[in-house]
Amino acid sequence: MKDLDRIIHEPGRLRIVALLSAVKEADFVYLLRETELTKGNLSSHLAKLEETGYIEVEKTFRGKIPLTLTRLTPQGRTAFQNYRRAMNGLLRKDQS
Amino acid sequence: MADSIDDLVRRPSQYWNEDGLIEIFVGLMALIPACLFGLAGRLRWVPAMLLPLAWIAVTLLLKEGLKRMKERVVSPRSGYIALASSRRVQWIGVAVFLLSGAVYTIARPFLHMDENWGRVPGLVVAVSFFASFLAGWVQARQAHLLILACAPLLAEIWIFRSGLGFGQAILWLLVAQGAALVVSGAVRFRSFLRANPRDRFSA
Repeated sequence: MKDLDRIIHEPGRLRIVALLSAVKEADFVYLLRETELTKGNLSSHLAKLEETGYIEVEKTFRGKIPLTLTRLTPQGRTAFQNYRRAMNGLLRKDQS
Repeated sequence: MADSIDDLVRRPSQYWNEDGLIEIFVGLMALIPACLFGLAGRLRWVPAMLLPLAWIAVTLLLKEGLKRMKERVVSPRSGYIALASSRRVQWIGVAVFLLSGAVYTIARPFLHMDENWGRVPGLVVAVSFFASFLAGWVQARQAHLLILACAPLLAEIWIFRSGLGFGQAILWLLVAQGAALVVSGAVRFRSFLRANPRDRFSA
């Protein structure tokens, strides 16, 4: 259990990182819809992930509408892959 | 909401397809070239090279249209994503394009085969369309895929009874499958718009 990345292990952040692992980038609205977190919760999880260097957050505009884009960094991608591997290992150990 | 990590990882590609726009795009990709080829068959003076060029132009225009619809209609309602396009997927796209060109080149001499032989390849194409949508239904369990699977079979029954040759059979199959995809996509797009009003996530 101690091999698990505590930053990713938190359910809200795990959802964010798993969703971002399958895309090049996604905006705040998409993450809000898919994770079913509140705006405040999502913002704080994104801030934590950005602080750790797992995601990049880019604030931009589409026309006059503000757009918050998020993407996984190579470090975040590696951390997620390691987390998945560790989790699968634990599950396999539990089954045998 | 997705339950497992695997479900979450699969979720963006499901989201990409759930508004029905991809279905409309694929449907138009079948429908428009089929109409162009059908029209060119009637207008004998159309140069053969013009058709592949028209096909490429239609593909590029539809791709741009899809991108704009996603940006302007879908993203403000339910969020924007850019799917990671892996090199493998790009190569599959190139391979499918080259393969369809090769199939067309090989099949061209047979397009005017007599009615008896002309029936067999059409049947094969109809069954392969049916099988691909059935496989999709087995994986995703979405009812509209079953309806889409039935469209080429129903068209093939009519084609078989009408005794159309290979070329005509393929054109009508593409028209039937394309139209079914466009209608199904439009219905899904309408329900997507209803389920996702524009101001859903605003404060």
